[in-house]
Amino acid sequence: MQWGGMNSWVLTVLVVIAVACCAVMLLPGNESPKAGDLATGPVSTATATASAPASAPTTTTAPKWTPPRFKARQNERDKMVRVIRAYGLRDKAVLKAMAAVPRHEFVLPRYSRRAYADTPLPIGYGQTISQPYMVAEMTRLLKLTPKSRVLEIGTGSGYQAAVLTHFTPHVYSIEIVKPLAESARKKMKRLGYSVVNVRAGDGYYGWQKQAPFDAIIVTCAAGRIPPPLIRQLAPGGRMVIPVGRPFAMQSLMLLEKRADGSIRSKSLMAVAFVPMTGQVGKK
Amino acid sequence: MPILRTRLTVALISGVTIALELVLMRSLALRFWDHFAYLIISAALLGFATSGTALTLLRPVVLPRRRGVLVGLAMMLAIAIPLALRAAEHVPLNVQAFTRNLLDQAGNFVLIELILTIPMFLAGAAVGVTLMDEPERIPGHYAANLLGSGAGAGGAVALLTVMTVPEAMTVLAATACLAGLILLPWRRLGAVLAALSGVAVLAAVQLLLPWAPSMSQYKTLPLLEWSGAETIHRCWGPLGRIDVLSGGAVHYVPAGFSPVCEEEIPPHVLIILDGDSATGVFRTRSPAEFAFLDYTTAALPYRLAKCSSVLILGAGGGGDIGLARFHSSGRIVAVESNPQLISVMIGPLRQRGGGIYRASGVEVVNVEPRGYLSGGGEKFDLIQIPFFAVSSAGEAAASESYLYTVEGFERMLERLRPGGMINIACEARTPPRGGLRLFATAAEALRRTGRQPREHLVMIRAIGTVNVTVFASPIRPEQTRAVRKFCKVRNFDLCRLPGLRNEQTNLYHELDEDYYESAGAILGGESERYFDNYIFDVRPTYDDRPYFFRFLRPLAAVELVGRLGSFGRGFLEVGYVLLAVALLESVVLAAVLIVLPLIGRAGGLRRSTGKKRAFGYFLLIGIGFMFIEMSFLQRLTLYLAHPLYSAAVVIGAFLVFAGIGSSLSRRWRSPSTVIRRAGLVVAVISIVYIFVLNELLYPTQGWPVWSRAILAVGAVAPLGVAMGHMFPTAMRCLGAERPTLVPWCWAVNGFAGVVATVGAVLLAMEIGFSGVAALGAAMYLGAMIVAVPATAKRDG
Repeated sequence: MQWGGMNSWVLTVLVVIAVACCAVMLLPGNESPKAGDLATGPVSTATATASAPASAPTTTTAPKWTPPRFKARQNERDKMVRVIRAYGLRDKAVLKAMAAVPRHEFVLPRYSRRAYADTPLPIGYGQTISQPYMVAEMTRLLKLTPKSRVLEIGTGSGYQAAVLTHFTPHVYSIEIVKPLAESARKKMKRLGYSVVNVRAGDGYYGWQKQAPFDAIIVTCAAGRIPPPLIRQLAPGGRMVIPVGRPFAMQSLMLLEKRADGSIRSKSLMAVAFVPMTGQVGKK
Repeated sequence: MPILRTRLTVALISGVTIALELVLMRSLALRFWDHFAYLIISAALLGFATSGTALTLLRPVVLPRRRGVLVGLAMMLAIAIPLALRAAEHVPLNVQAFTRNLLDQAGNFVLIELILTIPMFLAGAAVGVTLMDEPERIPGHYAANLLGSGAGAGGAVALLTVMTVPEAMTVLAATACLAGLILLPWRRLGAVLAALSGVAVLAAVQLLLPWAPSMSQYKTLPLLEWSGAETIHRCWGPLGRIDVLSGGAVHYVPAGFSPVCEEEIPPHVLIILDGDSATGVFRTRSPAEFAFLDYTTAALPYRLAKCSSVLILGAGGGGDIGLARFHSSGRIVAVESNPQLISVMIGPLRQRGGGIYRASGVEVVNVEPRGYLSGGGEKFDLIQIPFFAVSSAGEAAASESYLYTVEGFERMLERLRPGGMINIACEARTPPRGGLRLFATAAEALRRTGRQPREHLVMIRAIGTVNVTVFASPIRPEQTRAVRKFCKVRNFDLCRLPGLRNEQTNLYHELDEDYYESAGAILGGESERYFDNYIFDVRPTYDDRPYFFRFLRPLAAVELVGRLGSFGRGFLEVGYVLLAVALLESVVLAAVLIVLPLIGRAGGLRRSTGKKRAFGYFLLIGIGFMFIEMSFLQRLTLYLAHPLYSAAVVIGAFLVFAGIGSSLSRRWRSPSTVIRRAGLVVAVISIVYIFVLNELLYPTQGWPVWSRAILAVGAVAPLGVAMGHMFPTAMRCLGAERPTLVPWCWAVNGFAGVVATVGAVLLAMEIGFSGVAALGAAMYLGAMIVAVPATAKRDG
């Protein structure tokens, strides 16, 4: 039999290879949680937001990924989620993710009691873990799907990246402070968020090797939007970034790259983030 | 006390004090930002005033041993200078958190001021002790004080030109020590041993506690250094410290940069002034490599007309020169006010991009931009003003700026060829303010020059940047089309353009509050109503009120904080808040320290008569002196076109001529006549100057700076001489009749100066410097009315 000039046995071989590949991809990885307070039972796989997908995904096959589940201090997390809801954020997938990630594991021990307060907290090296509402809102703005490839600039404690894994297993995160990057990497592994790829480096340049990204989230303030990040945004992709002078009020911006490469952006709200170190964009 | 040596000591201490103020301003500008100048002036005057209170209380102890006390004070001043600097370094003042954590940070602010007050207190006490000398000697001592102060102002600039801030501080401490040694009674072994001990302590402090001014961790430089950027060059000067940074962590994105630009930004280094203000220097081999700048808002004029000759007001790192060369401009004049920056560009950075200052067709001129504009002469197709930030935390709210005023735009319009353009960009903030004020100021300048603003103004914006283009001639239809195309290609938004419709705006970078409607309101007939109702003050700024960066009205601040709570504090402007805190603190301290000596029995002040009249007189001349000096300092700063040099010339001239006036005051027999005539002369000259000084001086704006300095000194001379009569004449009367009141009145006068210095700036924001000068004149008239009856009795 001929089909488009291709022999049937060749087609059969290709189908077999494709099925084998899919099977390999679907095999369970080594992401099982290890922390003492982890729940034993699996939970649902990555949850898409209620929002429409941002773009045609660049990754067509998503690995099977089950984010870890935690019991400890669930009441406090639920209370925190109620606070976030009070801001008017109603996205169920985002709220579910916020209710699932153990923020107390990401703060310094001395701030553990305040881990679920709706406030940023110091994590050392002049950096902070963001206010829970801000984490939720920025996550919502990205409109992630299970196939989205997302780049985070400013890993910090790793909390934001952990939240992102509840939407997609393709999470790449860059942190300029090497000890923070190392600590976040270890923490992710210990808690079971091993799909997060953490790299120590200068976020200004993005992660060219893994580009393009469907979403880029910048969790530190930039004087100007770094051009390399715009280039690494896929057509249809979204970037959330605080823009403004360091240690002052900045503007949280949502930037979208359209299919024709043109850029649309919007100033959403005034925020105060720690600065993107190494970048200057003012006189 | 030996007259000559006493006066030499007083002159040296006074010189050290003024120089210390200027060097401290430099030091705090490096650690924080420029607006700390008022903290230093307040600390100085507070120190002087407090010393008056202390001398009032300690008069019986001090009077019999004036010489020893004066020597001791000079030696203590020498030691206090380095110790106070080191102590102030440990106060954790965080300017960025000032409005969010007002109480704690205000406490730190006051603590720094009190620490820096200590050397000022010692210096003030030294001068105050000499004023407790024989009444006939007072005018001479006072003259030495003023002459020394005048010399100190010039000396500080010289010191900062040739050495670093720590080195200058060492010289000042050594000079204070020398002032003490001059008056030392060398035959008394105890005094000599005490003085030598002082010298040893000073040497120990300098050697064992090395000091260099620190820098706020919230400035750009520490952030970059921490990221791994390497400092490849550093130099100091009176206008600031320059650091040149290089390395992988250094990446500079120009203002108004298009998000769709595909051009690479060339390798570059960063020039950072005083640790914060940064400019990129691009290493390029040809003008074509500046193509990336064609994707900034600054490129707009080049796409609208051929710009053969370009004037750049702020050469900086040479980016705008590169853009002009990219567009083949044949004649480029780049004005740069900082001579050190020019030296760095053509020196160490010559091979790393600085060579653009020497490129063919480029002429770099070292002058203040406004001064260059006022000089007259060559006309240009384009005047390009580089991007400026509107200071997010409001640090610059109390800073004067003469380029972004209606008069500044008028001077620029005069320097344009027919069809020429002015292009200026500033930081876009939410809600809009800087861009709107820029637009309103340009519109007002166009109206005043007989043009219809609607036909001469274009406003566009990129992410974070607003760009205003002012056309000398009405915008042509093909230029309108070119603006639209320029914005479409670069994804910039149109805000104001002839024929623009609302639906054509806010397309690329969406804002809740767009500029389109605001721009329409500013150009319309209801602009006053718009200005009144808008939450920020975006009215045009004028030379008389040159506070471009002050947007927040006090009432709006209260409303914002009330509505938004702690988040609303983020909108408060630190520069303004610092001034208000300084004023409040000065008033409270002044009230306490003036009233304090009246409570106890020390010094016999309670029993003394004539306190109310003396209080009123010295309060009025204290406030009047500072009001008049501050307002003329502002006018002459603009005339001399260089803030630091003009401050040195004008303050120096005021002090020197007041000193001469003080010395001359001894010649007059009748105090009431002196006070009456001097008060009238001060009031009349001040009022006349308000109306005619600009007209008298501005025709000579194009003259060399030294000749303008001479004219400025000439303008100050009659005023200074007249003002110099008022204080010592009354002091002489008091010294003869009520000596117990002398130090107390010295305190009252000092406190009045503290309050007036800060108050003058806050007042000028509301009523302008002319209003402040008029108030100063009224104060002198008031003082005259208060004092004449009392002094007339003495005449009789």
